[in-house]
Amino acid sequence: MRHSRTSVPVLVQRLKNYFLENPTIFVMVAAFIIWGLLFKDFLLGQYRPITDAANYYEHVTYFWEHLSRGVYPFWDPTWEGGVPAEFFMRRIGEFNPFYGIIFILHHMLGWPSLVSYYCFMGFYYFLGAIGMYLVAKEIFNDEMSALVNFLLFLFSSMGTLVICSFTVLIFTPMAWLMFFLLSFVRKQERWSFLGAVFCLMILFSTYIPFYFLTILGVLFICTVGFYFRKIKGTLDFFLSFFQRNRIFSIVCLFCLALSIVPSLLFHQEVSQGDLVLGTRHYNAPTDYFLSVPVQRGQFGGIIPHLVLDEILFDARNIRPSHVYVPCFIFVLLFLGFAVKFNKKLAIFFTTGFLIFIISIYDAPLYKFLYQHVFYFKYFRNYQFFFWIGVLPFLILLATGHFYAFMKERESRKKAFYLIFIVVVHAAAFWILWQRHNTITTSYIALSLSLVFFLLSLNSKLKSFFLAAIFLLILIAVEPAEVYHYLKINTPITNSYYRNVAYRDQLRLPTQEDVKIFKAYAKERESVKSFQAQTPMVVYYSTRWTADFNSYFDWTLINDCMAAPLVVYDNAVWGEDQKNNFDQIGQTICSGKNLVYLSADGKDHPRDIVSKNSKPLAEVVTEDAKELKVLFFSGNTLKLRSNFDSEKVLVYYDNYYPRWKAYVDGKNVPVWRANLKYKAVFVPKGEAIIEFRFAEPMEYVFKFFMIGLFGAVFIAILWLWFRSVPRRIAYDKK
Amino acid sequence: MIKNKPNSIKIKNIAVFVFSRAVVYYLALFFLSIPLINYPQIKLQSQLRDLNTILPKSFGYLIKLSQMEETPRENPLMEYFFFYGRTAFYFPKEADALGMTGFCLYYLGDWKGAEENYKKAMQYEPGFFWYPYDLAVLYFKNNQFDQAAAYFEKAASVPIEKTINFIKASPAIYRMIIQEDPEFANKSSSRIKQAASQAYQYMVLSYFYRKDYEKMFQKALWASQNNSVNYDIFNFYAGVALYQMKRYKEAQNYFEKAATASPQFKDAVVFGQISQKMVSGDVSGPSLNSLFLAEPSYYQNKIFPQIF
Repeated sequence: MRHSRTSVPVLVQRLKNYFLENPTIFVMVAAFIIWGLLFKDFLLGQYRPITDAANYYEHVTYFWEHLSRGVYPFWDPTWEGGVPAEFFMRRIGEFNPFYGIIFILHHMLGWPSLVSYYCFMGFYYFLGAIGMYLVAKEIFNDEMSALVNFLLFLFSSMGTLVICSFTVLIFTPMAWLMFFLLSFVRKQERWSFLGAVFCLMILFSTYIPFYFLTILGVLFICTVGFYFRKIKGTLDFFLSFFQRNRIFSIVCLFCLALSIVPSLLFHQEVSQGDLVLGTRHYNAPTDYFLSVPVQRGQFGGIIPHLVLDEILFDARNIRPSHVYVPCFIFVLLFLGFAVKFNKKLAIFFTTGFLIFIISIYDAPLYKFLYQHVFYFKYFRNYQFFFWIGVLPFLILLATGHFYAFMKERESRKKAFYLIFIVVVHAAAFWILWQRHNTITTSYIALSLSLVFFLLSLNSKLKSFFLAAIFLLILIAVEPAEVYHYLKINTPITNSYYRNVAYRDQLRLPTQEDVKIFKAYAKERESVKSFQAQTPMVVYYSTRWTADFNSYFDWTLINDCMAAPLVVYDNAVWGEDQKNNFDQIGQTICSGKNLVYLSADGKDHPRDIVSKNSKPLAEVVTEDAKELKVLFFSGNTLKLRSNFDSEKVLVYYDNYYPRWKAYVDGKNVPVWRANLKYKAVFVPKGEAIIEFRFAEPMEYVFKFFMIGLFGAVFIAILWLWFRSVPRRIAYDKK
Repeated sequence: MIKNKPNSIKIKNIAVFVFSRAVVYYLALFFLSIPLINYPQIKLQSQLRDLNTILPKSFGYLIKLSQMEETPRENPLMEYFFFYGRTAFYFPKEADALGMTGFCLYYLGDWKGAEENYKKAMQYEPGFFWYPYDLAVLYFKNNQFDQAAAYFEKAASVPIEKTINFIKASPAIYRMIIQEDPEFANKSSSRIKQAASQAYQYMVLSYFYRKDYEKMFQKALWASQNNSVNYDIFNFYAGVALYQMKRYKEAQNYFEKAATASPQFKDAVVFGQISQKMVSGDVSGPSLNSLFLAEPSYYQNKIFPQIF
């Protein structure tokens, strides 16, 4: 007891000492806590994810629901009646070990699924902001400038993307990649090299690393352009590292190559043409699944002047994904009139400006790249470039001005800078005053900014800790009001998420449900045409589902297909033709004891006609005696059957060629039934039937990749810890 | 010995200082990009894209509200206001967007905003009936009868065909409404005729409220001769104006004309009788003004109706 009483003050004292020794860390943690409080209602799940974030939340949840049970999800039966889940896994980059946070929070600590997801995203965003801090620190070698960079980024509206986009998932590894590369260039260390490789692995394991590649390419061109003479030296520098660390480098490159394999396999799979990206691929110039048509300004891309309008003037109307940056950034950008041109500033501006131009569909650069650079045909939504390309460089530019100004004012006449800073603030006040709807905290932030610069110019703000706290307040005061409006303007939705609960994915109907199906069937008996007036275009599905959905009127057919397992006595073979779609629709809806099978050109058995069969097909209910579900996961369905005659079992989940079926352990063909579902022939008497998706080697590979990413992450931490004494010595030197 | 630097060196130093500032590079890069990038086109496309994202799902409510088949409700009106307001922001010379913004603001209770938008809309499209009319209604309801009278007069002078042509030619704003209600332009024609007649009525009333009886009489007389629909009411107004100018005999004639045209128009009969008494010098009994004072709400609602 005595021990526990004394340990608390000791801990507090140690913490206090730690923060006093490391004021930056204290300010960063405090800033993150303030940010967390501003976004508290979002992080606690009061607001549901919207647009892209909703899908990503579903994918991540689906992934962990399965993985926590030891099942790797290869198939997602909840999307458009069933699709390979690889597309979703490539979207989220499932090997990222940071997803483990969700597992810990949700599956181990029992936090709600949405709160766990938001906490992960919030943390990941914070990690991205730390990346920004480290990048600035590497570039400017100045603690205060790095802190400004961190704070401007943290309180920008990039944080709102946590609830409406996935962009944070791309940005954070990008920021850290930059840090690792800069750190490596400063001093060759294994941990920084491996860190860069790890970030690349995360980025390359997603299906469209093209945003990242574009930004990296532009940055590379600009850097080479401004530091042309140093190219040879840098290449020699890298080569010398490879020569001294051959095995380590080869292992790193091997890991990097492995991380690309899932994306390559996915591209190989989709090139077979069995998958369709309807809305995305529509009107694309090539047949390739991922290609997109030339984008037009009306439908996407950055809205240049709107971006400015929103940054400057629309604080009360802020909504998720609107652009907002604390007004302090404009003061810093104005400093560009006073600070001297240097190569770093030139790189920030040129890179940001070029990315901005690339991302405007109506500018000629986009059209040129679309025609001549292959991967520009495979992605769209260039507005994301603003968040992951333009905004970070804009913040770096502002930070660069801050750094240069603070350095230059030490060496020049104070009077000039004093007058300049007053003029800049007066101009900023005037601009705000011109706007009738300027929020009060903007004036407060500007006033604090003026005080900050005046104190700094007169060398009154000598304590780093005080200066850092001052900066935190002046940057955070305006967002505190702005994000209050964000809460008011964000609608609280009751979005429906595809079955995130594992157990709901195969729910057999009750006898009562069957009665309801029959009632629907009766209603549809007189329907002659099931053709929809407006064809439905799916975002992502199998090609048979795309055909099915483009023909059928879902208001007529949807209710009839709610039972996952149906047993038929009669089956006829035939190829898909639009003229028999209505007949098939009528058969499905009326619940007739007849199924249409397609062999897609393969050899198949003869039609089955059972003379004594019942008129209606047998819907498998949860209390059915002839068929019991033994095991179910997204990828597997195992059943025990005991029928008195041969039957056709239709699993009302989408057909896809990679599905395999086994009857008593023996591989049997899976046939396409009623245009897009899957079926097997079930023998008379007792049998064990199993539907399986994906090969055992695929499971091995996926689990290996998860292990590999985890191992690389741990290796970075281990190498980093080992390098700490060396780095301290190097920094002192 | 300290020697002052020559001016040429000073200028050179200043030039070096100015041109070595970072902002010079930024501006240079931006200006270099101008020949390559069509910024106005990008701006236009972006604006259209933004408007597409906030385009209301349906204009049904707005159509019904404009035809008095709906009551003003804030939620749907805000959606329209947001769309039209943004359109007017991007295209500040588009009269139809300005006018619709004014319309939404009027029903949202922001009369000042509505007034500003209607005035701008009139500036860019003077040949559209509804802008001066709506503006006049706004002034009338706000007891600004000078302005109301002037704008009712403007509205009354606009040919109906011009307004219909403008609606049909509206590139975006009315086209969307017509797509939803193909009969909108035709319905507008009959509504404008009706409103034009009302415009005269309210114009005369505006002069009444500002006590300009001479003008009131002239306008009422002109309207009674040129407006067969409300012949009785304009003669009645002419009588009221003459009565106020103490020209009782002439007033009595006009009240009689009104009563003859509409025998059920009892007020015209009563007012005619009062005028007759005044002609004969009998000041006993109620005068017109004492009647107005005794039952102001009746006369405001029935004879001098408030709009809407």
